[in-house]
This record gives sequence, structure tokens and C-alpha cells, in this order.
Amino acid sequence: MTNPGAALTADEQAPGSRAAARARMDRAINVAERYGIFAAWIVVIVVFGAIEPSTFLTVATVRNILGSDAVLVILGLGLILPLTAGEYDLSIASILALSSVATAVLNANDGVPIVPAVIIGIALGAFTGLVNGVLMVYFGIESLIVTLGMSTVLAGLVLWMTNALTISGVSIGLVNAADHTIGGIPLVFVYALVITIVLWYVLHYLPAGRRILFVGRGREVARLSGVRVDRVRLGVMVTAGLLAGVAGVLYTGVSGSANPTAGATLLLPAFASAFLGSTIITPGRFNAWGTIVAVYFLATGTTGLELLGVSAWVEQLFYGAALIGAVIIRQLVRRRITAGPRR
Amino acid sequence: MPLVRLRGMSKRFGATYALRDVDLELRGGEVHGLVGANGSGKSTLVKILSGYHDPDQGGSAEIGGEAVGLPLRPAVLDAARIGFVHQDLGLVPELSVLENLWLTRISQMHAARVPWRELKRRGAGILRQYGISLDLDASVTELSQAQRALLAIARAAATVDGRLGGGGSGVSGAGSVPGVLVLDEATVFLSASHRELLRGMIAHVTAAGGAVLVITHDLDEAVSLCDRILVLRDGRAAALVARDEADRAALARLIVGQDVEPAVAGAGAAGAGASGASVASVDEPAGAATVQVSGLRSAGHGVGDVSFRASPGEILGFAGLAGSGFDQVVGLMFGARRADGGTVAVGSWRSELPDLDPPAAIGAGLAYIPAGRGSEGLLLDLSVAENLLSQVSERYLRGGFLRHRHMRERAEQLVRDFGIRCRDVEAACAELSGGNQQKVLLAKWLEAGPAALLLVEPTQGIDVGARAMIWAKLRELAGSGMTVVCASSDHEELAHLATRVLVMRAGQVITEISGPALTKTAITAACLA
Repeated sequence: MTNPGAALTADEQAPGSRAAARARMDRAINVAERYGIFAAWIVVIVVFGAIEPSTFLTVATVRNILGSDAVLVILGLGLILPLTAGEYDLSIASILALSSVATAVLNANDGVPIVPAVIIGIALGAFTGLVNGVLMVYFGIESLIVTLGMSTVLAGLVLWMTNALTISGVSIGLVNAADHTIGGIPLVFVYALVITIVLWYVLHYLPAGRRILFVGRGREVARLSGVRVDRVRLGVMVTAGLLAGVAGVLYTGVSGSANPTAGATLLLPAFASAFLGSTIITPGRFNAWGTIVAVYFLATGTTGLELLGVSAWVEQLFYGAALIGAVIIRQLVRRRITAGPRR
Repeated sequence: MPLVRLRGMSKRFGATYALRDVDLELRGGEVHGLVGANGSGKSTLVKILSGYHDPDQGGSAEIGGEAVGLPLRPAVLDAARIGFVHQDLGLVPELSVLENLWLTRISQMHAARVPWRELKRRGAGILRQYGISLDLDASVTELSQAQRALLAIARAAATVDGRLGGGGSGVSGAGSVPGVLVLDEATVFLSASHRELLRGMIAHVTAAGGAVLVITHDLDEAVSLCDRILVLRDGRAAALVARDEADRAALARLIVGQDVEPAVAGAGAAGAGASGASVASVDEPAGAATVQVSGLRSAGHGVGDVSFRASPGEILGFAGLAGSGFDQVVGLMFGARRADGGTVAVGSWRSELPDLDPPAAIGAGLAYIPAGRGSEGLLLDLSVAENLLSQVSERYLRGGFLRHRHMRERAEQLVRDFGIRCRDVEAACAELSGGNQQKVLLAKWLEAGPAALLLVEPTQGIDVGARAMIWAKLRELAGSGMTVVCASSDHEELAHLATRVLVMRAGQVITEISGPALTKTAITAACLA
């Protein structure tokens, strides 16, 4: 190149600076794509804060959002594993309900001590995931169909176990383990954060995470490259069930009771968060940090709307639109990735 | 008056011209060739002709002497009877031969009832006329690649003949408009006997006053079929060559834009490649090993009792007509598909074939480079780096973390070594041309340090430069003691590369050719014998 300080002729300068300008532009767009959600988040906070300064901008609200949506974070994280492997788990929220209810029924109704009740609740989740995986792998049924059927089966089971009643009277030990705060931060949020870090590590820093991605992006290619595809598919379903089980037990802990219809309402927010999360941080890929950020971004929006006194139906509208919007963005990102550089 | 005339075709994607001021004229009764390296603008020109791309301002199109608007609309193409066979053939695998044959007709039909009986009768007539024997009720999934290609070509030829139109009579309007048959790399799966059928269909179209446009990488095919050949290079028309001026060496020169070493222009000494790709120096294979297969059989893949042995330093070729099983052997011995019986041994390691799966085969030191780059070989929407290092990510695990920076550096090194053209190692593989994708695929498997390399059609549908580079690489690997087994329908490739060629027919090895007798014509003759 030219010596430092040497004057550039116009001819030399123009293409170089244009290329540099384009590179800068590309970098800026890239950063905006990855982290733009934080700007949007601040806008949401400022808007609701301006409208409702007395209720929205309070420590109690922040704590409430952190605590009540941590369960959704864990559920969304459970979902990104099957999604990365190219599988759907539509039963994940029903597994949450099953684990939640099973723990409560065992502990409150049957007098089982809380620790075994929690272990059984989580194990039930993992076992259901295993059943999902076995049906997919050994009978060659699409995950969409298997888990759609499973979600309804589980919903029925849960109603049978509870007689459609909310189970209360769960051990205070579980409630404390979930809802106790350290320095104002609820424990359940800490758990969600830890699971986020673990999943980020697995998906980003372990060969196993790459194998999951390979299976999702080309099952046959992965198989011929030596990946044990069936093992991976089974593994992601079991892990999804396990995390849904953890989320279910914590859900019982946070609310001190188990609501048999909880499952249905969490499925869509979990999908919306997972897909919105896949458009940020590492756009085009389901990722753990994206998921937790998406959950709290969406929770900020819904909480703000609630505080404004907007009816409950707006929340559904909000999450549904978020899911569709996220999928559209994801599609655009992927199209650009495979089509080559921005021209 | 030409049947089709495209003038001043340009297509720009952002700042780069994919095609720049190219004319294409298809005259009645002629076979017109279109050749060029990957990225030379061939597919862009074809996509303009098929109405998929809207060319940039300044071009014009005439069909049958009348000016038509751009982009070309389906109705215009239908009226002019322009029939396409695209590279992917455009068949719906789950549907039957009959349904595929009438796909367009059925999807455009307004009648309340599909006249199946009539369609079946006319369909049988079409296949009979082109000399193709296919069960009309068979599902396309049951057909071999060659049979699928024939079906697609027959369908396009019948479109051109006007035999797939509506109306009650089987020959409604036949002959009223001479059509144009466009064959875009449609012959890659065809064996010599199938190529004869294809020649028959081409002759049929031209005899009726129609034109045929042949897009191909096979220069011999271009020379032998075409009356005129348009050579594209870097988006521009490099030359329009008439039949008597065309020979493959001259074409190869025009395609590359410079003199080509003998390896590319014809059988001969090894060449490092015209693309300027530097050839990587690879380490000695970790453990060179003899590969031995005994009693390999698989009824489902048309292979019965094949045994052979390939030694370190040897390139063993497999040849045969489509359906002979020559292209199935390597997949079966890798465990990519399940065999009924037989054993495979790599050095002292040994496995019963029905029990073998890819992880075990890879553990034994085998590497398998399948024919389908996108469907079996590479994860196209992941990055070049991720594909290159997919077999060896464990190596980059330090203290429980994958070292992304080291991986990136290694990927960049491989990109340089193999002359892979990409804007960045983080770019998706889908962005790359076929030749560069094939280089990524080869590099990915070599990175695993295999003892033996199994390949199927290693240079199918890629440009001459990449082809020369891959050939040179394979020779170099064999020279350093690797065992290479390569199935190919490109007999020139086998003549050039292989130390020994096993020719298969009906699932059996019928001939072995080696030494001075190993020539392209000898292989072809043995396949047909």
C-alpha cells in the first residue's frame, strides 16, 4: 500500500474508501442484527416507564419479571436442543405440567418427602423425552407427530392425576429453593442463568454441540460423516424432557402449587422465545443467550401491557406475533446466509 | 429465421456481472452447445431462457421471428414449445412415471376428471417412440438415476414435439411449431447405451425442424453432438465455434482462456491445474493400509458377490454402465448403505459388512466422498470452516473448550492449500461453485487423515480447473501411499487416474484392465462388451 502520510490520488482513494465504507456498513448491520434487540428492549422499557413510572420502573416489577419468567427460560432452553437437531418438541410444555403436577401430588397428597418427589418429577420428564425419542428413532415417526400426540396424552394424564384441580400445599422447602432471593434476585433466575451458560457451552464449545447442529442441517450428511444420528436425536429429546421436568418442578416451587392447565399456556411463549432467540447473538442459529434475552424481552413487553391494564388477550396476540415475526426474520437471515454476501 | 434469438443478454448481481452482453441464436434443425467453466454464466443464460431470471435492460428476445417481452413468460415458452431438462431433472419422486410425464398437463388441467386411461395410452406411446422401457405405474423413487434422466428427457422431448398438449387426439398440433429442447447437464447420469437413446431423441427433434441446446461439461460430448458451440468465459461470449473448427483441446483453451496442460485437454501426464490452484502438500497418510473386500453382495443395490483388493499407492477404478452396480460398491463397503453380506478389511481391521456403519468405517481409516455434494457430502448452509473441520473438531478441544480461533486459522490454511475460492471461511458453503464445494469435500475428509479414500464421481459437473486440481491431488495422495478407490462414469477420468480398473456388469466384476491397455476407449468398450 502507500506510505503513511503519502497523499492518495483520487483514483486510488475512491474504490478503497468505498470498499472500506461497505465493510463498515456490513459490520454495522451485523452488530445491529446481533444486538439490536437490546436497543429495542431499552425503547420498550423507556416507553412503559414513561407511561407507568410508579409501577413499571420498580424493583418489585424487575424481581417479578426475573422470577416468574425463569421457568419459561428453562423451557425455551430445553426446546433449542431438538430445534437445533431439526426436531420439534410440541410436548415440552405438557412435560412441564406433568412434572409440576407429579411433584405436587406426590408431596402434598401422597406424603412423599419433597426431595424424592422432586427427583421423580424430573425423572418423569426425562423418561417422557426418552419415549418421544424412541418413537421417533425406532419407529421412524416424525417428531412433530410423536410430540403432538404425546402432548395430548400428557394433558389427559395430568387432568386424571389432579381431577382438574390445582394442587396446593407443597413443601415450603421447594418454595424456598425456587423463590428465595439472594440480594433481591430470585434463586430460580440463578438456576435459569446457570442452565443458559451450560447450554451455551455445550452448543458452542463442545464437539457434541456441533454434531447436534450437523444433524439438524443435514441428517444424511451427518450420518455419512460418522455422526451417530439416532443417538443424537434420542439425546436431544431426553435432554429436552429433562429440562422441561426441571422447569416443571421449579414451576411448582415458584407458585407453591401445581396448575394442571399450565402446560398449554407456556408452549407458544417457549417457541416464540426460542425462535426470536435464534435471530440474535448468533443469527440463524438457536442459541442459549438469545433464548434467555428473548424471554425477558418479551416478558418486559407483556408485563408492561399488564400494568397498563390491557386485557389478557393482548398477551396471546403479542406472543403469537412475536413467533411469526421471529420466524420471518430467521428465514430472511438464512436466505442471506446461503445466498452469499450482501451486494 | 432462428427459432430463438436472445440479444445483448446481461445480468448483474450487485456489482458483479454474471452475464455480459451475450447473444444466443438457436436455428431450426441445429444442435447448439453451451460450454464454460462454473461461474462463466452458463446457468444464468439458461435461467434467462427459462424465464427464471429477468435480464438487465438493453437486451431483446425474439421467438419465431417475433419480438417477445423479457423476462420470458411461461405462456410464451409453452407456445414456442421450449422444453427443459434441468440439472435436477424436475421430477417428483413420490409420484409415478405416468404422473411425472403429465405433471404440467395435470396441474394446468381444468377438467373435472383426469383422463387417466387416455394419458396412460399416450404416455406408453411416447416412451415407446423414444425407445425407453419404463413401467408407467412405477414410482420415480424406484428408478435409477439414469432412468430418471431418461424420463425427464423424454418428457421434455415430448413437450417439444407437442405430444403432451391437451385435446383428444394423441398428436394434436404435432409439427405445427418446431420446438426447442434444452438439455442442461442432463446426460451426466447416462451410460453409453442411454446416450444412444438420447441421440435418437435429439435427431427426432432436429429432423422435425426443431433446435436442441446442450449445456455440458463433457467436451467430447459437446464436440460430437453439436453443430455450433458457444463458449462462455467470465460472463462473456468467448467464442462461437462451428463443428468443423471444434476439438476438445481448442474448447478447453477457450473455456480457461489460456493454454491448458495435457491433463485437462486430454489423457496424458498429470497437471497441476489451470485454475492456478496451488496443490497442497499433505502429510503422509497416518497408516497406509491395504483394503480388501470379499463376497460383497446386496440385492437391493444390484451388487452380487464382488471381491477385490486395493493396495497402498494404488488408485483402483470402478466402471460400468448405469445399473451395473459399479457406483454402489464403495458406498456399500463404507457402510453408507446396508449390504446383505461380505466382509471388508482395512489393514488388520476387519468387519462383516452387514454390521458396518459409517462411524466404524471412519474409525478403521476409510473416508467416503459421495457423488451428491449437497445431499450427502456437505452441509451447505453451514460455513466453509465448519464443513472443513467437521471430522476433526475433537482436535480443537482444549481444557473442555473448542478453540474457535485455531479452527478458523486451520480452515484458512486449508482454503489456501486446496485453492478453494470463497470470500471468507465463515461464508456458507452454498455460496461456492460446484468445483469449490468439491474441493471442500475432499479437504474435509483428508483432514481426518484416512488410510484409504473412497470416491464416487469425484469431478461430476465441475469445471475443468477444479477437475484438474482434484485429479492432481488424488495422484499425489496415491503417490504418498494412500489407497484410493474411485467409481466413475467418466472413463477419461479413470484412464487418466487409475492404476487398475474393474469393469462391472449386472452386479459382477467382468473385466480388469490395467497397464498400457488402460485407455478411455478400452474401458468404454469393456462396459459395452
